[in-house]
Amino acid sequence: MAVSACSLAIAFSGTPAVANPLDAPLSPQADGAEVQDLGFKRTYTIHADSAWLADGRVLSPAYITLTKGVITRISSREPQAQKSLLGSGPKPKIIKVDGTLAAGVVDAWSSVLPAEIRLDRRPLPFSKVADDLPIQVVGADPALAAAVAAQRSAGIAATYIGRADGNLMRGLGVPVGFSAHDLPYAGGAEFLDLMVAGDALGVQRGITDLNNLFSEAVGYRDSVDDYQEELEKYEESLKKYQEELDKFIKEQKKEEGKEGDSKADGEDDKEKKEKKRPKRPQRPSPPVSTTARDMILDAIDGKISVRVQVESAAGIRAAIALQEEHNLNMMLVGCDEAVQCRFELAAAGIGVVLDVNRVHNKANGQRFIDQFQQLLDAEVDVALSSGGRNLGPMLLAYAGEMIAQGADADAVWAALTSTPARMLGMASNFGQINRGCSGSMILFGGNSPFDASALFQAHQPK
Amino acid sequence: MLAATILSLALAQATQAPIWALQPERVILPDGSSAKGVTVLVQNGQILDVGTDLQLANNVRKMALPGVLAPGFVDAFSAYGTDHPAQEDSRSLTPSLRAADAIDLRDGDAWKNLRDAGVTSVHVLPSPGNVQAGWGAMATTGGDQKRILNGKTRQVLSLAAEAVNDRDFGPSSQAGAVELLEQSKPLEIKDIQQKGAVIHVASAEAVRAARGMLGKQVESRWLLWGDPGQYGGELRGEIVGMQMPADSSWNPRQMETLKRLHKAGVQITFGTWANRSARKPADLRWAAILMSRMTGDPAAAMASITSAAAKFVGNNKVGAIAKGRRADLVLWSAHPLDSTASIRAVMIGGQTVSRGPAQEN
Repeated sequence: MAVSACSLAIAFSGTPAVANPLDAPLSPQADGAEVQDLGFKRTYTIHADSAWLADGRVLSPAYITLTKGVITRISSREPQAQKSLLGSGPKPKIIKVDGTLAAGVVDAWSSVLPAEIRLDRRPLPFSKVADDLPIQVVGADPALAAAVAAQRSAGIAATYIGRADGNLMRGLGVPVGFSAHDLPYAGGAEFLDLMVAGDALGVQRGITDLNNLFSEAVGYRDSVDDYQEELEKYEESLKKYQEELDKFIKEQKKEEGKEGDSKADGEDDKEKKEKKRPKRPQRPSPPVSTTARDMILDAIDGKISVRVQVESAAGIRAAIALQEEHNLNMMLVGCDEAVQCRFELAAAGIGVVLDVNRVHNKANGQRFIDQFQQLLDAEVDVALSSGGRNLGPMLLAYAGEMIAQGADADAVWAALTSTPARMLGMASNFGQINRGCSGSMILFGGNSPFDASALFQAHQPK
Repeated sequence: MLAATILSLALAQATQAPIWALQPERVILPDGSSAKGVTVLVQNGQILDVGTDLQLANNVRKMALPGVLAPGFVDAFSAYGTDHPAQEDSRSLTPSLRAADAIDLRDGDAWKNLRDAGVTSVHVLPSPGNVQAGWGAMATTGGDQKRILNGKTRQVLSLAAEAVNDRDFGPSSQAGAVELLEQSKPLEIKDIQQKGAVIHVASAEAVRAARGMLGKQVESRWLLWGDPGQYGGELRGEIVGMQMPADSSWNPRQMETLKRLHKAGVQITFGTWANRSARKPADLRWAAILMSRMTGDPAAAMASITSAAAKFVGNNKVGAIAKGRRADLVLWSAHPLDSTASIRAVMIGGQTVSRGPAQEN
């Protein structure tokens, strides 16, 4: 790695700049209610040979203190027992390890799915993954726990869970961290998952459907405005009607008081006056909304971000146009032809999540690396992911293959950690070794985390 | 007479191949570890000696190699080398069939792709469609010397129901396969006791049945089908071939199985043959990298595609950088299990078949 091997002697102890994420509501289930117990209990310090900090800095030696799964102190000096009027407190527990600590990987496109989604045969366009996450209890979802354990042992600290089934609209996905029970917990804001995929014709249809989805939602919102106007008109006409009705009733009574009229004439007049009875105005019917449409409107209002799976340049351009039209917060996944739109993507501030498996393809491997570099050169945020597959340790291995074929090592590492964390809105909790961040880290003994010839351990907080 | 003897000695000296002292930054040793300051002496396609304090004669040519020198990978059970599967469908027993007869040695893309992936030898097996399938063969992936290293490696027996299921000639089940093999008396196959067998299995019952028929007289290697997580415990201490899944499709169970087989003392090797479709040559290295990560044992992972693979084949001339072995060597920019490493040069039988930035001193 090209990170400079400077030794920092600065102790970063003190009040964490970033609030402990465990003190905040962790998932929509817990929103406003009690915080879930993620199973992290202990406080201890890891003493490693060195640690990769943010911005390419290396701390050597490194003393990283974890409290309930969160990094609370980073220093090159050993923590001391706290002194008080009553004397010294107990010496903090220090675990000595050989090797270098680095941030856990953030896989922005993985295959981890809770049972509620795995077993659901009828994907709904408005499902919410956060609602399907299991409660933090050991044994809540054994298959999911096995998948998460595999992810954690491969050095992955956080990922994104979204529905991979369904077509255009797949509901709300959510970035997640992993608890001590090997279960995911919501670790960031939700994304509206959309997809435009398929061959040339399929893409055109997908683009049309995508645009229709948003224009229909906008049309609905316009119809709500129209309804308000109609409602105001209705209330005015209702008042007028009331006045006319009052007048009519008065006239009716006046007519009934006249007893001298002949019965036959009176009957004729009655018929005439009944015909003049004012007609009550009809209340306009309100436009009916749907949950799916509300999600689109939330995206248009900037309340939720949008995540579009798209491969072709035409699809990517359509997504960019949609983002510009509705001022959406957007990220793209897949993006096989993103390089053709790199400048538009950079101008729109849209990041892309690439599938690292493509480097493994002998025919297209070099093209993929060129694409990666060109996107970075154009200043597009690029994340590398497992592409919705079960890669386990091979995520890092395939990323290492990119370096073997000429990709910049620092850029590859950032694309696996800090960049996806930022794109998923988890930058304060994942993607770097920093105070307030997750203590899920990688410990490696070789040249880099990509080196399988030496020690590699995923540190899972206790 | 004396003059003739002197002349012949002089001619012999003049034609004697030079001795090369390869001095890479690091060398992968037979136990899978790597060491600095090791010199590898090569002559006539063979490794003369390996050591840190070798006395080098004046006529030895030294060559500093920038990188890590590793043994060429051994594809323990290969899908390459034959355009058509080595098999005969008209019979259910073909113990004399030789995969060597089906190997196409013309230098095509398949051989080049193998060399580009650092694979210097392949063990081509007959198709496991028959209970007695025939003999495997060992070939190099390049070089001008004799390419078939061994035309009869091991007898291939198949008890995997999925492989032998044949309505016309039978058997149609594992039990039928066991019965057929028992009746055909595998111990009477010529040379099987000397050369050993590779046995395709998919269950503990198949393993036990094969053991019952072959006893300890036949050195057995096992090629695993199905879910080895269900029967791998039966193979404690054995050398097995594990099929690699297709691209990027390892799942947590397969990874855990790999880890537990290793923990149980099973020696794992990898090959490019698979019952659905051939794996890419580069997948051998990826499988070893995955194994290293899952087991935390890089030496065993390295062995899975070098020395343990050579044991699977029964060939003690390949798979390690050691005295007396073939000079099938690959120079890497870093340790081959470091995924950032790339190949700088490939030598097969002492002949450099692709060259990087090596420099002669």
